[in-house]
Amino acid sequence: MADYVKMWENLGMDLESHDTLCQVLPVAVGDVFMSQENRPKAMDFWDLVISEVHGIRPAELIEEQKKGRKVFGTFCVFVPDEVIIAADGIVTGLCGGSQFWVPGGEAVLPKNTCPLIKASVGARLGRTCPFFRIADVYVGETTCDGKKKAYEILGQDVPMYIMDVPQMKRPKDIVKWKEEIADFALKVEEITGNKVTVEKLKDAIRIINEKRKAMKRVYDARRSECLPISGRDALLMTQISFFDDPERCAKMCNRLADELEERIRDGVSVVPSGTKRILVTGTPLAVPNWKLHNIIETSGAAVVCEEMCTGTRYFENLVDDSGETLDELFMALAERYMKNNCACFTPNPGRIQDILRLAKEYKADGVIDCSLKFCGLYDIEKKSVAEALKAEGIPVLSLETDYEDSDAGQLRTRIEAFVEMLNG
Amino acid sequence: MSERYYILFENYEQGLALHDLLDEAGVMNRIAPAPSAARGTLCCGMSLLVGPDMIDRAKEVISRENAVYHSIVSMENPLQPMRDRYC
Amino acid sequence: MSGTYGVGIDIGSTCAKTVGMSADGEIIWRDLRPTGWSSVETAEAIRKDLPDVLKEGSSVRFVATGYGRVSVPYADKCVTEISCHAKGAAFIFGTDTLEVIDIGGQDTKLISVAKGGVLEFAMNDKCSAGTGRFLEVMANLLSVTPSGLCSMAEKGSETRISSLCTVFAESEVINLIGRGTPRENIAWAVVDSIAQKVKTQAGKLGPGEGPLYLTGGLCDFPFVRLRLGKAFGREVLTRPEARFAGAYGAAVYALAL
Repeated sequence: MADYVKMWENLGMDLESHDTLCQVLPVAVGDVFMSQENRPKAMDFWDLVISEVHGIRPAELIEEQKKGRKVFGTFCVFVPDEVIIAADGIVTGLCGGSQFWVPGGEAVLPKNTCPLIKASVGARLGRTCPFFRIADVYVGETTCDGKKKAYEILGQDVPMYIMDVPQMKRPKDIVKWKEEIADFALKVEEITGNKVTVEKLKDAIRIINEKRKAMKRVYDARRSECLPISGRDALLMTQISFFDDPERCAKMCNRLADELEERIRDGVSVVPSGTKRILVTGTPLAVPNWKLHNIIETSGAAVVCEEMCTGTRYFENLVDDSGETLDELFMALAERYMKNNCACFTPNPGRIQDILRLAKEYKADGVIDCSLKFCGLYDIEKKSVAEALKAEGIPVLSLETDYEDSDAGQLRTRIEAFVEMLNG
Repeated sequence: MSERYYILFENYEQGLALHDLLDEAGVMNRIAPAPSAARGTLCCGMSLLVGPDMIDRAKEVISRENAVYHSIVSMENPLQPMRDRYC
Repeated sequence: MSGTYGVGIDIGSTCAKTVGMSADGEIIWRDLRPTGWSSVETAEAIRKDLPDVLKEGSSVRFVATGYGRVSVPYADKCVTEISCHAKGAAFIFGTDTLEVIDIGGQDTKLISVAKGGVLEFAMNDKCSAGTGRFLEVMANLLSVTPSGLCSMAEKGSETRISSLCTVFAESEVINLIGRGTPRENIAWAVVDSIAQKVKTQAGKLGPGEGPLYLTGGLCDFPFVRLRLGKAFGREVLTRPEARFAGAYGAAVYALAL
C-alpha cells in the first residue's frame, strides 16, 4: 500500500494534511457501518471501496490516463455522463462531503456558503483529495448561485467548463438544454480527441441506463415491509456510484439487489418489524456525509428512501436510445435530464409530486426534509413540501444542518422526538 | 466485552484473499478501514474486522491456509454508533 | 408490569429536575439542582439523595430526559424532552390538548399537544437567542441575575435590540450601555427580544387560539410571560411547578413502563 503514498505524492497532494483525513475516516466508518448487525454480504464491495477510497479507484483512473483517456470531474446529476462515455472519457464525481475540507473553502468563500460548495473548493485548493487532483477538466453547471461563483474560483486553478442549466421547464427550455448538451459534446470531443458518433452515444446511453436500472433494483427492494438493507448502507452504495466505473457499478448493484431480493423471500430484515420508515428528502449527502442517516437509524427508525441527488434524482427515468441521429439522441438526453425536479427550477411542482409518490411507494411513516445550511433553494421549498405532506396526513420534520458534529445532539433530540411522535 | 480484532495487511489483495478464505470457512468477518492507531507505518487501507467469538477460528484458518497478513490488533470498544464523530 | 412509583429525571443544560410520582399521580418528591459540569455525577448525586421509598427496587421505574438523558445509567428508559414536556404540561395544566412553549437553558421548544401526545414541534437550532442562555449572557452584561433582569425590565420602557443573534445582540447591548440608556430599558429590550425570537421560531405553530402554556426555567418571571403574550397576541399561562414539566412528563412515562 506504500505505492499509494507515491501516487499521492505524484499527484501533488499535501500528504501531511491528507493523513489527518485518513485518521478520522476509520472511526466514522466503524461507528456508522461496522456497528450494524446483519448487513448484506454484498456490501463487501462498498466496504472495500470506502476502506481504500483514495487508493483503488484513483489508481485505476491514473492507469487509464496513461492510455490517453481523459477524466471529467462533475458536481451535479445534470451533467450527462453519456456524452463523456461516448467519447471514451471517464466521469468521476467531485462533491465534497467532509467538514475536513470546509475551512479551506472558507478561506476563499463567504462563510454563509453551503458546506458542499465550501468542502468542494477546500478539497481542491487544500490538495487533499486525489479525485480533485486527477480530473483533467471540471464540468460545472448553473444549478445555484453559490456554485456559479465558486466555479469561477476553481477555474483559476483547473480547466473548467460550465453547462447552463435552464431554470424553468417550458418546451423551449428543454430545447435549450439539448443545445447545451450538443455544445458540451463538441467540447468533450475536443478534450478527448474522439468523435461522439450515433453508435457510441447509443452504447453509452445503454451503459448508463443499465446502471440506473441496477440502482433502482436496490431501491425497489427497500420498498418491502421486510427491510433487507439499512439506509446507511444504501446511501453508501449511492454515494460511491458517482465515482465508480458505470458497468462495474451496475454489476455490483445487481449483485446486491439479488441478495436483497433473496432476503425478502426469506424474511430477513435489518430492523424489528414495526420500525418506523423514513423517507428523507432535500439536498445531497456527498460522501462521507453520514450524519443524518446515522442519527435517524440510531434513534429507532429506518431510512427507506432518499429523494435527493444522492438518491432517486440520480437514477429515476431512463434515456430513450431509439433515436437515429445525434440530434434525436441529444433531445432524448435533454428530455430525461429535464425530468429531474431539482429545487433550482421555478415553479417546481414535480418535486412535491415525487415526494408524495415516493412516500407511498416506500410505505414511509414520516418524512425528514433536510437541507444543507445556506442552501436557500431547498430551504425555501420546505414550506410547500411540509404543507403538501400535511395535507396528505404524512408527518414531516424539517431540518437544517451542515457538516459539523456540533449539532448532532440537537439533531438527535429532534429526530428522537419525531420518532416518538410516530410511535404514538 | 466489546473487543474487536483487526487483521491488517500489506495490500488489499492479501486482505481480499483472506476474506474469501474466512467466508468459505464460515468465519464472520467484514472489510473495514484499518484504525489509524493500529495502522502504524502502514498506509490508509483495508483490514478485516473480526469479533471476539470468531478470532480463534480466524487464526486457525490463517495457519491452515498459510494466509499472508501483516498483524492482528485488538481494540476495546471501537464501534460506537452514538459517538457522533463524523468526518 | 406497572411500577408503583415513577421517577422522572430531567437533566437540562442548566438545572437537573427530579420528580417522584405515585401511581395515583401524587407527587412524593421534587428536587432541583444545578447540572454542574458533569451530568453523570449529578445523576449519581440525585440517586443517592432519593428518599427510601423511591430507591431502585422492583416497584420504582426511572425515565431520564433532557440533553443529559444518556448520562443516567439507572434509567429504565430515555425519552426526549419534547415528548416529556408535552406529557408533563398536560399533567400540570390538566388538559390533554394544548400548545406549550418551553424555554430552557439552551433550547426553546414549541410543542403542539393533542390527546396528551406530540402533534408537532419546533425547536431552535444551535443559536442560543431566545433561550435561557441568552438571558444569562445579557444579565451578566448588566451585572444582575436573570431574575433581577426580569424585575428590572418591568420598570423599563420600550427599547429594541434588532438582532436575533446572541453574539450580535451582545454588541448592541454594549452600544446601548455606552449611549447611557437606562439599565431598565435595556432589560426591557432583552426580555422583548426573547419573546420576539420565540415567536419567530414558532412559525406556523404560533397563530393558534386560546392560551399558550409556558414551561421551563423562565416561567417564574412574570414579565417574560407578559411580553410573550404580547408577541403572540395570546394569553400565556403558567404554574410554579411548570419549571419541572419535563420531569413530571418523565415520571408519567415511568409510571406507564
